[in-house]
Amino acid sequence: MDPLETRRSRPAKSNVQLPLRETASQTAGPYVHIGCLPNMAGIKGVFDQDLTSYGSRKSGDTIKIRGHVIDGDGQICRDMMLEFWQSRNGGKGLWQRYATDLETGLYEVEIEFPSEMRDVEGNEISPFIAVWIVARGINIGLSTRIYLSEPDNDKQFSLIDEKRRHTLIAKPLELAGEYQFDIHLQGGQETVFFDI
Amino acid sequence: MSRAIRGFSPRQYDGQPEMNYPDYRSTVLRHPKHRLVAVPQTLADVTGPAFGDMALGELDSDLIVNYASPGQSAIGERIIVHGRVVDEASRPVQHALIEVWQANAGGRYRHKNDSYLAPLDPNFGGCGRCVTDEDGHYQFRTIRPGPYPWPNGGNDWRPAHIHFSIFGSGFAQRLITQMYFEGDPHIHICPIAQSINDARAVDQLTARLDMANSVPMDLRSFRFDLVLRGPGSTMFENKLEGN
Ligand SMILES: [Fe+2]
Repeated sequence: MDPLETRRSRPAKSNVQLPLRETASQTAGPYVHIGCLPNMAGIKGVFDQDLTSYGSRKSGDTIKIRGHVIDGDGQICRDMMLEFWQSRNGGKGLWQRYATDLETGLYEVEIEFPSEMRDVEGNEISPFIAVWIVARGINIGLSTRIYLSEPDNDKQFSLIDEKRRHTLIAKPLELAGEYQFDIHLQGGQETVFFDI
Repeated sequence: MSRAIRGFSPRQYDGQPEMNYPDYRSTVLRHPKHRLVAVPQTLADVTGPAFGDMALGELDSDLIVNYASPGQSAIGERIIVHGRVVDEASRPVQHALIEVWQANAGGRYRHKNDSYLAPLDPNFGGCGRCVTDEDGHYQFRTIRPGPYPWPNGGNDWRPAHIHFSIFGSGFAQRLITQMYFEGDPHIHICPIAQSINDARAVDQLTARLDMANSVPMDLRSFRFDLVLRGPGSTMFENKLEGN
């Protein structure tokens, strides 16, 4: 019997009840790499290659952003997975994901910074890269944003405590086009995370 | 040319896990201490990568054989996991990419950091993926994973579970979760599952035995439906570019 032919016949009672509520999140850790980046994790041959990017680049200049994820003890986390969504007007964009290096904890992404961004009302706002972070110990994926410079008069930025805004701005490195963006999960430098 | 995209309703946190849940030790140093900053959604939150047209390998959704030597298969209880992905308004989430990963039948992961006593199964990798159809339906074949002990300061064992990663239509719907199995007594004593302080939400993570969809003399079936964030009231006018 072919399971594809039988799968829709009189299914068991659903695990989901009305009114429908979003399925609860659970931690991705500790071995998120097995499912999302199996070749990197040493599982070769299931997928030809790891799914690390999807979508289209425009022809613009790319920049490199690198950094560490740091926990509440100031320790570098080596088991993080980060996703970057660079959306362009029109709903297209480039999605990428990387794990922090299993030895050094460094992540590095080469990305084309969006030239514009719009809010709900269609107003132009300062462009950013959307970032999503998961790992062991993170029960709900954390959302943050990377800006390349402090936006002026930006409706979204104005909602953030002034003293914490700097945590969202990538620091230019010596080489042109290279930036550092460290993510602090806790502590005095705690990165701003969003409820979107 | 433009088309409208609807934003998402606000996330309800009462059916979600605590981000700081000391019984799950790793959360202590890894949860934000500041409140999340609420901001209106932007184009970057309501759009996302569209994986529906991605070419998947023929065996991507068959963990029983996708790492096995020719003619071999993974050791364990053979199962089908299937269900639908819908949003909170009951609309099917079409062409959604689902990635799954799990331990083998003995509770061991194929990962260099996992040193549990149970042996690796040479014919089991532990990862797979599939895409939902027009109806939001997905399915994959695998073996039932084993429970395993984990370092959390005590004698903690995870219930048998399969990790799920799901992409909806917008980046704000992105979800990673875990599927448990109906009747597993470990669910109620697992600090990770119990970090959700809502019995109904935990029950929603529990797949149901589904004999109607089992394959006689071959596999049993488990049904696991998933719900992503639903539509909000805001509409985005999305001007399409010529790219
Ligand atoms: Fe696990």
